[in-house]
Amino acid sequence: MVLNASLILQALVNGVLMGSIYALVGIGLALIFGVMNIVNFAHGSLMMAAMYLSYWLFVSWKVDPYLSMLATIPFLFFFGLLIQRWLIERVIDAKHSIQILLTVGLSLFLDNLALALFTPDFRAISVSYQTASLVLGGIIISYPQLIAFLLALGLTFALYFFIKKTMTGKAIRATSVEKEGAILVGINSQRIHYLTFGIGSACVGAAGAAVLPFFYCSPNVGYAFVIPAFVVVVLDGMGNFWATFVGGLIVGVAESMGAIFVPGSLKQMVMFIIFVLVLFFKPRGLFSK
Amino acid sequence: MIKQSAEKGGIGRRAFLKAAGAVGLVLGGMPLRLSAAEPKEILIGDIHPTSGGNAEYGKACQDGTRLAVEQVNAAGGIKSLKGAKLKLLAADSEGKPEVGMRAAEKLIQDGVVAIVGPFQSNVAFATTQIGEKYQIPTVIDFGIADNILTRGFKYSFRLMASTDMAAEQWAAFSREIARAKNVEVKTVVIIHENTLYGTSFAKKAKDAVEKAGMEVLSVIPYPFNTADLSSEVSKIKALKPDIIAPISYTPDAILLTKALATLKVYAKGYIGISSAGHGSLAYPTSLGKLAEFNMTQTAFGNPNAPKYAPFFAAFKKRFNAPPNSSPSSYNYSAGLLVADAINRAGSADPKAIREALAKSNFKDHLLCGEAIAFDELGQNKNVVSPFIQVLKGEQIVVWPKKFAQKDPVFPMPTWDEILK
Repeated sequence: MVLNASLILQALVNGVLMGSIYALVGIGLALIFGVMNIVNFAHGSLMMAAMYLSYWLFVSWKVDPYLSMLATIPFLFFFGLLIQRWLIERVIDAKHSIQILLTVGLSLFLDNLALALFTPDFRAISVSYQTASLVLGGIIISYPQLIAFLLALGLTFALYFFIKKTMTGKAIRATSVEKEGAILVGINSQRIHYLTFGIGSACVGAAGAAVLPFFYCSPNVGYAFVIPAFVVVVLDGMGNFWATFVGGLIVGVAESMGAIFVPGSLKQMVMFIIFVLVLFFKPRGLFSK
Repeated sequence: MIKQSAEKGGIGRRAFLKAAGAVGLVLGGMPLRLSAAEPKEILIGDIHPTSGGNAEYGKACQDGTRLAVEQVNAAGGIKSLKGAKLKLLAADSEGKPEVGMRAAEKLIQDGVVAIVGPFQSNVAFATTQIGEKYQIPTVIDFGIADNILTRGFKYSFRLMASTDMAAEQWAAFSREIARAKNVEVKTVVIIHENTLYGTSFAKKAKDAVEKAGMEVLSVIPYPFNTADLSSEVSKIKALKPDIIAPISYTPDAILLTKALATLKVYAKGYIGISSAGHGSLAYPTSLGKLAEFNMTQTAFGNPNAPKYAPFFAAFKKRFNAPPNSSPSSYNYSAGLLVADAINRAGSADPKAIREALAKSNFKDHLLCGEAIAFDELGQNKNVVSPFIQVLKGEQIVVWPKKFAQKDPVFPMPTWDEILK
């Protein structure tokens, strides 16, 4: 086997870059779960919707995928808000099984709608910079992936700031910690729920557009990102956004190192072994005290 | 009315004659029509996934069979049965084995004498079981899994190359191209998706490549639904093989190619081993420039077959869209083969048709290779799975020479040249 330093370093870089995307997707999931205690199984389908939106903007009007975020983020925000308003809010106090059925059903609906509207074809866009890369001492860093990484980092920071420092952010945190108490002090918990689901969905609105230059688009594409994102969420124990971000990087690096060190098909197993170990030994999250 | 006829005193002589004449014409016409419908239609079944994930391929398949049946009828039907006409009963498998099985049962109850289809291995595995039970022959278009034919079924016949044939042909053709272009090719890295399809194929390909005197540096499996293949590709880069040989589905083929280009991994050849993803239409359309010069082995139709150009034109005219080479030409050939077998059997009895199919020596097809003829397992022994290459966005057959439309570009240009 040809294990050398540059191969390992390259895998590390690949893992960190991919991990940041898992993190961005995971942050949306964690936020929704943290505030409303709802596991959003439709998260991947929402990401798929963002990817198609970005794809069609590019194909129809040559809108650059990064620029298309100006559309995908607000679109997903309002789409999420409406989903919360019309669907999730109705089962917010129902049993978990009912909530799961609803989000799984929504996911099936969206996936099949995409199948009907866009056919099962795999699509990808060709942008001039899609294979552009930065070469640093033999290590190749793809520009689109680097941009996605920086975007994920920036958005994590923005969300962190929003939740920690703004009044609305504080209201979201209050609702997440103690719903009844928050209502007592005059916080409109329903509106906080709308906002939370909107923001959670907007995260995949950004992620969907950010991955399009180096990924493909199809009705089932969301699962490729959401499954690692679920692991991320378990890793960080729904703590803060930075923990989620680091969790994403851990999952990404575990996967890429797995691809180098263990026989290829087992690379996802490395990720799931971490998942099981964390659940077993630190069920409240890797960074819990 | 009563009042009126009472006034006129019943029906007049002239009116009566007219009516009688009309009735006579109708009655006189009837026996004529009956004799035209004699002998009655022979029903052929077609099972393909015309809804669900493979709907587009399923439709391209079914249209191929339909065109064949229509052309047989237009040319005067089955000669040995006094010009009996064929009728196609098309069914949808939805890409699911259990739905395919129900469709096969239904078609057989409706009286089909043979079934064409069903495009996918797992569905073929199921529907041929029904065909075997009722002793109705199935002509399998695609469905490469070995176990479809190794069960010793008497009523299953497969057009496409088996895994063994494809792997052997891949190794042989790669050698031939290298020799023809005077390029040294000694090492191969096989990278494959890790479901049954990729894994079993990779094993056979490794053996075939080694038998052909080349070295397999590594066999790299990966999960096909992965979000990233950069690490696997970095591994290939470190190995520096002469040929990168992927076995992929479409999404991973796209990711793999993007990763190869981004990490600037160069090999003399990037040649898929019966790679479904690299051979799909979505591959060149979604990747654009990045797909250029990619080669892959695939069950393509033979563009140099004498019947190919008329088939292409007729298909386009009939369905307002060009045929999709593999699915449409394979099923068109399957339809013609069944008609030929019925003609030779001189009977619409499925058992007689089965015997005729087993003795096929059918030259009038659109597959690459000599006449369609089956071995004792029901495998078409003369079919060739050629190499296609993406040249200016088109999938062009480049090897073997006999079926080639163009000369292959080998070795591949570098990524910088491709992306220029």
